[in-house]
Amino acid sequence: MKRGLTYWIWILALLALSSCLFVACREAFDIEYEPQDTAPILVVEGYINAGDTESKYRLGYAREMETGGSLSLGSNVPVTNASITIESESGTKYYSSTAAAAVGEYIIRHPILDPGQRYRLLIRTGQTEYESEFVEVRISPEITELEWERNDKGIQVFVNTADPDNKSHHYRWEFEETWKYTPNWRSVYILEDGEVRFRESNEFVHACYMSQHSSNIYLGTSEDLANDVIHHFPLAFVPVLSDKMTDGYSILVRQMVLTDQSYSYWKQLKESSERLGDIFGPMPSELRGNIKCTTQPDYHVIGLVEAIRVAEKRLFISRSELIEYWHVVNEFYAGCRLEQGDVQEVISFLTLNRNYLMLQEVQGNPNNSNITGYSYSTRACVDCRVRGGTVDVPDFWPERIF
Amino acid sequence: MNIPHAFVRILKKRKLSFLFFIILWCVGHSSALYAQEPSVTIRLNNASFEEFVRQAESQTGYTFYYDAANTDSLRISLNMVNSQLSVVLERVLHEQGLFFTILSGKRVFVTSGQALITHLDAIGSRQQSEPLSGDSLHAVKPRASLAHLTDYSGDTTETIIAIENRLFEFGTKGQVVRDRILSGYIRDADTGLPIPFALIEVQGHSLTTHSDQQGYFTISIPEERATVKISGVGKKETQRQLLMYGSARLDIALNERVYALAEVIVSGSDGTGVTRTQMGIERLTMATIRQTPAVFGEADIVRVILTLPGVQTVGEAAAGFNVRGGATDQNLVLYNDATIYNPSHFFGFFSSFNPDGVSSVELYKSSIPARFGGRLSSVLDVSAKEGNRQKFSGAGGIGPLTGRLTLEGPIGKKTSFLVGGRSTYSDWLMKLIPDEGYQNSSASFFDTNFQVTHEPNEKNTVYAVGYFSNDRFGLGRDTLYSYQNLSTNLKWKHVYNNRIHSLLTVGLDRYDFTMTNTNLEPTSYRLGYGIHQTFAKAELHHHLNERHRLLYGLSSILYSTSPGSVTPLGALSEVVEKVLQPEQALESALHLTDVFQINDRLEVDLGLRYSMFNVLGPRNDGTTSYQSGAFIKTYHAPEIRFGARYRVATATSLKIGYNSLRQYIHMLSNTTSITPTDTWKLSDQYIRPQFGDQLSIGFYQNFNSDRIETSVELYYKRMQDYLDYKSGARLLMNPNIERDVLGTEARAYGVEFLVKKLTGRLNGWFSYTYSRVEQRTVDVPEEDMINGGAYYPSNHDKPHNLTLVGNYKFSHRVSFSLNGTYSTGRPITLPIAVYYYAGNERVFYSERNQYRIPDYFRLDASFNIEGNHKVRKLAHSSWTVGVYNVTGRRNPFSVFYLSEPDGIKGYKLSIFGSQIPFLTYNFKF
Repeated sequence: MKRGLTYWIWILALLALSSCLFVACREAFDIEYEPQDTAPILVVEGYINAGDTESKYRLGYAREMETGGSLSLGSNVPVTNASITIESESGTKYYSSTAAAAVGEYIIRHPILDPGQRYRLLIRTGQTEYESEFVEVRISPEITELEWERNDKGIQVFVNTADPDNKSHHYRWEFEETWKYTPNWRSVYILEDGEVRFRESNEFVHACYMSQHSSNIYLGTSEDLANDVIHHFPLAFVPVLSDKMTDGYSILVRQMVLTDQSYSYWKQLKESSERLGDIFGPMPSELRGNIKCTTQPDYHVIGLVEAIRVAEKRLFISRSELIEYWHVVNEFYAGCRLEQGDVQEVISFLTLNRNYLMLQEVQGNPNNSNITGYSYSTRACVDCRVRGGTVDVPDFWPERIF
Repeated sequence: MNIPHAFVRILKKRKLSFLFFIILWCVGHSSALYAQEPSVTIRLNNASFEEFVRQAESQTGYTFYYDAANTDSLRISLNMVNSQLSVVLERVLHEQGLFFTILSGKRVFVTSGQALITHLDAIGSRQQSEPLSGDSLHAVKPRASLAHLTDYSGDTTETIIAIENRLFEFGTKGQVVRDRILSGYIRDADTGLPIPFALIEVQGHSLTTHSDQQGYFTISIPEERATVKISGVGKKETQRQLLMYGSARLDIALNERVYALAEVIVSGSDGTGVTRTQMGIERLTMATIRQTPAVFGEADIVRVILTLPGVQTVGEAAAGFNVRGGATDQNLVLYNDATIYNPSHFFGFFSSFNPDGVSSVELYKSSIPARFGGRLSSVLDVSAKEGNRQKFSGAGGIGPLTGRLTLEGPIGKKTSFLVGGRSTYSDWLMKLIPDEGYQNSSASFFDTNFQVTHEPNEKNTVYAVGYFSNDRFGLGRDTLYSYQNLSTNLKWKHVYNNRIHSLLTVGLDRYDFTMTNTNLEPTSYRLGYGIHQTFAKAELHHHLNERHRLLYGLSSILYSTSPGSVTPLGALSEVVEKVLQPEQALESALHLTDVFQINDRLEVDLGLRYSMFNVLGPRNDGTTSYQSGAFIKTYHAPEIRFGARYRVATATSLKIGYNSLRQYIHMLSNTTSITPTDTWKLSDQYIRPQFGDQLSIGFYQNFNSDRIETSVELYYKRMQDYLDYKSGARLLMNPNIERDVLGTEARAYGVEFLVKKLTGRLNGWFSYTYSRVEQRTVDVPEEDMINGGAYYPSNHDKPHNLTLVGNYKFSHRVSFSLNGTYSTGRPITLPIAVYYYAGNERVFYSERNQYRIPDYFRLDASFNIEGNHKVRKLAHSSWTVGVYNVTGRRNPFSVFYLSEPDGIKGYKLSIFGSQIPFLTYNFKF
């Protein structure tokens, strides 16, 4: 029961006094080296979805490491010419459709799979063939509960789960966070063909919803416990000042049950890419999944074929549930400035500068309601969609309670 | 004419400025002195008298006796061909006011002021009639083969010079003896403490020996009349005039060397690089260790060990060290025969030895004596200090992180004790971490040691030693790690006679660690590991004759380990209790070493060890259940320890050595450096013992009258059956670890150059090492092979290494130390491809250890300032002030890549990000 990570983190933190003044420091560094040439490395991501009638896979090639500069961020080089087959041990085969193959996505339709059977994946890209081992279907128990706690660092979401049948033991979680955010000002008017008019209700751009998929690997195990129970396992964390709590925060947690083999695989993957350095850390070790290239045995394949039925649960935290006030400092809107001017001035400026949006009216005299001018700001500061969210209210978003 | 058997020496006593000479014994018959006088051919240009003597001695076979103080200023330019020795001597000495006398036995005495009087007799009775002040002279029993003299008693009024020139007579004249053996203890004149590794040599012969760890020595004296020279590092060289009609015991006191400022210090070093048969032995005195700057100013044995050629570490904070390509678990670390399984404190920043409790340190990296075994690469033999026999005293120090205090003194006349302790108050370091979570953390350690020495009589000495260390560190409020070493042993040294003495040791060593986690009540647990060993060993040192010295013995270690246990903590914990089966084994060995001096030039060290390892029950391996004490599996094999030295010239020698070793216990670790949660696994029916052998050749040359030692050593080493692990192997709480190990073999080779000057105002050493170590997996399925089964560099493969350790004494009180290290960066595994998976960018690693981190360089400097040297002072204090990592270079410990929300980021981690100044205060009373 090596409590690996916390221990290493702590050691490192001890050594990594951020000031670099006394003992130890961690600093950004790009070592100059010439990466070895490698054969194409196929990345296979997805799972055989035993709980539904279709399975999705994404195929890509790993990119060469770029050194001496910033490393590019993005997806793998998509594999567009592949075909994927799910094969049961009894020989039944389900083939991929090529619907979204252009972006490397493949969908395999199949009936609800028999949990008593074992399945494997066959991949063919041109002349190169890959196959996985047969894997058993792992069915996740329902998530018992999602909880959250607030402390002075932020809000931590926890998962509790249990398998009364005592068969699951190893768990992996993914989650998707969704939150509502608002720019500093609300745009009430819209300038259209030189005319100022009110925005329609479907034209409002001051409240958006953003979703983000988990980027870390969350693994839990109950193998040392008497019961197959996971207590209070920490998942997402919302740090103080985060705009994720601007109004409300929703998290969907997907729970998957792993075999011993896949637990070990995910654990290695986690350690080799998320651990904090190396003082006492294990050496990077070669990651071996259950997929092999049958035509070129020295080709590396990243990925693990699993046949799983996922359990899901959603948690919503409303801002009104927070007892203490939640300050939001939104970096994205930090530099926004509010401008204003006379009616005509603003109209002519905004007509020429389409990246500015009109906000609200300015009343010159408090005694009458004549509009003397308008306030405006840049589109990025006004239109919440610029940040990446959508104005469409997700269907799981709760009705406003108050 | 009578031949004087006495040796007469005339000395000039500087302070009193008068001449005196003692002629103790004159008997016998003098033959015509000049009749058979040989001729010599000497061509010298501005040479020293020593050089002259060397030439004259080698041409004539005569032995010269002279006081270096009279002749060291002589510069001789001479060109004489085939001239009579006396003519040559006359020419050389006359103008200098020196006289010479040639006596029978091919001896030439050079004296100052007056020639030797050869006709005096009857003074010899003086010893019997007048008791010598302060000396405990045991009555010389006429027929006894063993006479015993002690010259170290504290309150002596006799000067050192007087002792050096007094003739010690043993036995009865005319007695027929087969050979003469001198034995006894070398001790410090002030404290009565034994001086280990002092060099004892019979002048005019190439006979030398060293005192052992208890200061005991035995040496053959070839002629009745002999002078023995005794030197120890940091001690004033001394000599004793002997007239031996039989064997004798003489305990000899050495004084601290007092450095005179204006004069060159005559070498007191033991010159052992050239004379010793073994190779690859490094001896360090505490004086050297103390003056070497160390991080946080803590004098640290292991840090100094790391400056020696052939010793590497994976990084600055890494616990453990690698000797000539060996793994960190292949070092046997002994503290007075106690095996220390985790020799580090505080994650490896400090070693577990309180410097005040240590008298000397030896590292065997090549020729490992046959009496040691059980580890492949090296033996670090740390000798605990004995208590002061003369008076109650103490020592201590205060540094930024630790404080220590040691007290010692006599208990009655026959017993002395030493008890020491060291503790840390390092929590303030935690508070510096700008994160509240860690400010709740704590790290602390302490160690204690004691030694009691009881000498009921001159033939028996009993030593009791104890050591206990404890480390605790807590993460936040809920995770606590702790580990402890506990050792105690009892040693009995018995001197049967001058030729034979024995050492019998019994003891217990334990190492345990525990980890508790109380983060959540349902998952609170405590994890424990322990290894316990009980050992007994007997050694017999047998001085057969002047050509053969034997050492033989047997030893046994009974191991019992608790490979792991997890127990629930608290009533609400749902953790299941899980206890791995304990393991037991017995490791036994027989060993025999013959140090055989074939002739003056050639000496061989023939060592053989036969080791056996019995895996013992009770155990249930799933198919078979073994009873308690049943032999589950037995391994046994001979181990060869051979060394030979050929002395090409007085100051030059060549050596060769071959060693083979076996290791029956393995540390389970898949990290680059030792961590507190590494466990030890005994060999069993699945895990074979490790085997290693090493061939080494060395060339040694001393310069400048042995003041400068140089050496070159080459080695090639193989290691088999050492352990690596499958990817993702779980090492803790794994009942079937054999399924996760990969058999590995390694090869290492290198060459080590060393220049050393241990005396004088400027002292220290400089070394360059080129070494490689590579390993590969063998006998494993192809999919488990690392790097496809090819050889790849081990983690500690750092080919180039340069080390400078220097100390310059400005005065008696102030010295400056400088320490520099350069080495190639260690190998690491780096990413070669990047891919997107599971919501993030991740990296794909190359084959193992195909790249290197940037090179390592560090410079440390310190001043050691002593208080005044008044002898009658309440306490002597000293300050050490210095800077670790003077250049502030951020040497990377590792380079790594992390998946962060915005992509892959490259980082380097440096242990020390800047200069680290330190100040420590040490005191002695």
